[in-house]
Amino acid sequence: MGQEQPSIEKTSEVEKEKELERLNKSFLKLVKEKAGKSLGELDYEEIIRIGEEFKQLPEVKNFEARYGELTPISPEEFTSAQKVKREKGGGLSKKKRLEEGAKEYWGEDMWKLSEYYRRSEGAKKGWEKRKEGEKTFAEEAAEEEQKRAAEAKVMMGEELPEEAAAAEEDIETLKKKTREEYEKAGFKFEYKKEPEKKYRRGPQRELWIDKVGNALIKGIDKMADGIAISGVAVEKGVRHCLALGLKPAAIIEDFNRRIFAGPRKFFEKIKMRREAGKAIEKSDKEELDRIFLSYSERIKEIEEQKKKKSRIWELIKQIKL
Amino acid sequence: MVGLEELKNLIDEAGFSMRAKEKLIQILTEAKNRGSITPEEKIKLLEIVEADMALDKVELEARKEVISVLEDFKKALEK
Repeated sequence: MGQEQPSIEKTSEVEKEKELERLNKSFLKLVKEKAGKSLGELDYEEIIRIGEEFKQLPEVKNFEARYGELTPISPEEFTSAQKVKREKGGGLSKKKRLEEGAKEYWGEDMWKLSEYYRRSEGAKKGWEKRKEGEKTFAEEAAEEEQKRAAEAKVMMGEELPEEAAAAEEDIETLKKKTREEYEKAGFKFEYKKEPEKKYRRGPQRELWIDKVGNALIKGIDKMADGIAISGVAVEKGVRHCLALGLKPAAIIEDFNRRIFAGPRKFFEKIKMRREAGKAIEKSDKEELDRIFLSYSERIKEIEEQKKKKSRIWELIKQIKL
Repeated sequence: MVGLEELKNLIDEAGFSMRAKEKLIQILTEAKNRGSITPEEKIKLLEIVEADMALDKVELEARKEVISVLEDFKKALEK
């Protein structure tokens, strides 16, 4: 298809990268707080000391629980890096350092110090291997990630390969398919060029979202001819469908049945009544109240379940291997 | 630390979707029979819980939007 393909591996990698970005920011912030100077001004001992404190942060522990322990590079590597920095333009902006070849300061793949804590053992190996002209850390990591993702696919059971293949389709195909599913289910599809603010993302500002080809559909909206249910896209759909071994269409179907079917039926009835020139009856208002009540109760229930599920997540995280 | 069996019971009562619950229980049962849990299994368990919670979030938002429209409709009726 000639364009970047969405896939489970890439989704996972993207999320990991985002998390790493956040961790990097936390690390830099901590350096400022604890040392009162910038990262490049620290000596090795200071970096390690702050790094140990950094590792006590809950967000770092969470990350390690998911992706493995983060460890710093060795003193020898640090000394070597400093030497390169002196020779190749340390003190320049990050962009400039890269441009000027100062990326060697941290090695090809770890050009900023905050990345010490994301490269862990792999960094040490990579450092050595680069010297020997073997595979870089990045190449090794990519292979590892592919291997891990392949294993994860197998663990997901029989439905996943099909879904994984589906995720490889380009975003336009996925959008089209999802739209068809939605329309087949009887909903009006509405493509919004100007989505609500919360859904704005990236230069296209499209409601159809990002690299993964997320295409779960939900939502209700008002239409010009009265109130009816139409569709808006929400993020996160495909990934979560895949994680549960479900097809996006199955989620849509489930949502249609559990969430939208009741109100849609109600509004259709009202619309028909209006078209027939009849007034709204007391029983309609009572039905409306009943829908309100059931929705409010379900919202409370979900919020309660969220607490239980968060607790379970914590417990799983604490399981010793 | 909570045992795998206890964890299964908690999962059973936490309101997971059927599919998520099946997957979680399956992984835990296999781990229990083996006597240990692998890093991959642990990651998978976390991912499934996260996925289920994310779907809950989507449902929550959807329901809130439904309520919002119903409220508008109710106001319109009252007028």
